[in-house]
Amino acid sequence: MKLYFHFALIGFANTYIIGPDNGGDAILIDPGTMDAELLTLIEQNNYYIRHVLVTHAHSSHVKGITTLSKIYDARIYAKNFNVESRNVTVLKDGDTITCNGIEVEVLEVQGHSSDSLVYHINGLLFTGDVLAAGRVGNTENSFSRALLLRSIREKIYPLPNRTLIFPGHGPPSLLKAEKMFNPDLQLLEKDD
Amino acid sequence: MFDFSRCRKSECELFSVTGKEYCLHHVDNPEECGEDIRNYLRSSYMHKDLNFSCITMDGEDFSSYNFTVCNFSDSTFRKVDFSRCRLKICFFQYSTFTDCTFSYSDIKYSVFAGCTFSHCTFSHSDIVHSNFLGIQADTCTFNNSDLYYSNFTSSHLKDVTFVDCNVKKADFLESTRKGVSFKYSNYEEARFEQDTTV
Repeated sequence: MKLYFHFALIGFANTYIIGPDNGGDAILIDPGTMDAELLTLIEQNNYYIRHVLVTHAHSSHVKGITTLSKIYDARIYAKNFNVESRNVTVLKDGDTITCNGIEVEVLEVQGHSSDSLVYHINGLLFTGDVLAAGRVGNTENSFSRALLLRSIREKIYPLPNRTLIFPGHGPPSLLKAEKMFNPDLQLLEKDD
Repeated sequence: MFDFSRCRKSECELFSVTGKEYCLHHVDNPEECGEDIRNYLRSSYMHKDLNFSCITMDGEDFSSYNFTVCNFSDSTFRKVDFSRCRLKICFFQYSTFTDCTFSYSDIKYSVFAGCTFSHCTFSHSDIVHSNFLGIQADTCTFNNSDLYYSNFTSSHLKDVTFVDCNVKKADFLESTRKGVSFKYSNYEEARFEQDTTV
C-alpha cells in the first residue's frame, strides 16, 4: 500500500491517495481541488481513482469532485446523500468497506460538522477537520465543541497510540502525540 | 508506506524493524541489527518505506540523502549530518537529536513530535507541513527557512532563532519561548493564541 499527499492552495487542504504498490485502482480522500498537479500524481503512479472518500462536505474537501468525476468513474462515499450534486454511497458509523483489497473502517465523529466521518485504514486515520496536529476542528458553538470532544474520546481515543493521523489541514501527526501535546485535548486527559 | 507490523513481543508498542518480526529492542542481537541498519542506510542515497525505530546514529553523514515514508521514531542521533537532505513523510517522533544539522534540507509532511533537539541547525531549509508538537529545543537555529504550516504547539523553545523565516500558518500555540527571536520573520502570520481557523 502506498500513500501520497497533495496540498491544494485553494482551501489549504490535504488530499490523500492510497493505492497498491504497482498501480491500479486507488482511493482518493477529500478532493478539495482537482488540479494538474494532482492529476499528474495519479497518472504517474498508474492509478485509476475508483473510490472517493469524503470526510465532510465542506468545499475545501469536495470541490474537486465535479472535475474528478469527468475523468474517473469513481464511487463516492460520504455521510450525506448528495455531495456536489453527485449521488453517493452513504456511510454510517461502524461501516466497513473494502476498496481494492484495502479495508476502510468508518467512524462518525460529529461536532465540526454534522456529516463528519473519519476513515481508519491499516493504522492510518484520515480525520478531515475533526482532529489536526495540535488542535481539534472548529465548532459553531459550545454544544458542538462538547459533542466533538466527546466523540473524539469515544471513537478515536480507544485506537492504538501508534495510530498515525492524516488531517484535512496541516501536517500529519500520531495519536500519542495528540494526547500528550494537543491543548484542546488536555481537558479529556484531565478527565481520565 | 512502511510496514505497520507491530513488534511481536507482547505489550511492545513499537513497530517491527523492516524485514524482521521484532523491534530493535527485542531482536536477537540488537547491536548487530543496528549495525546492519546503519550499513544498509550508508549503501544508498535513496531510501523509502523503511521502519528503523529506536536506532542510534553517531556521526553519520546523510547529507543529500533522500528519505521517503521512513520511520525513525524513538531514535537517538548525535552529530548526524542531514544537510541538503530530502525528507518526505518521515517519522522521527520521540527521538533525540544532538549537534545535528539539517541545513539546506527539504522537509515535507514529516513528524518530529515529542523530540528533543540540542545544538541543531535547520537553517536555509524548506520545512513545510511538518509537525514539531511538544518538542524541547535548546540552542537551535531555523534561520532563513520556510516553515509554512509547520506546527510547534506545546513546544519548549530555549535560545532558538527563527531569523528571516516564513512562518505563515505556523503554529506556536501553548509554546514556551525563552531567548527566541523572530527577527525579520512574518511572525504576525503565525498563530500564537487560540483561535479557530481549521
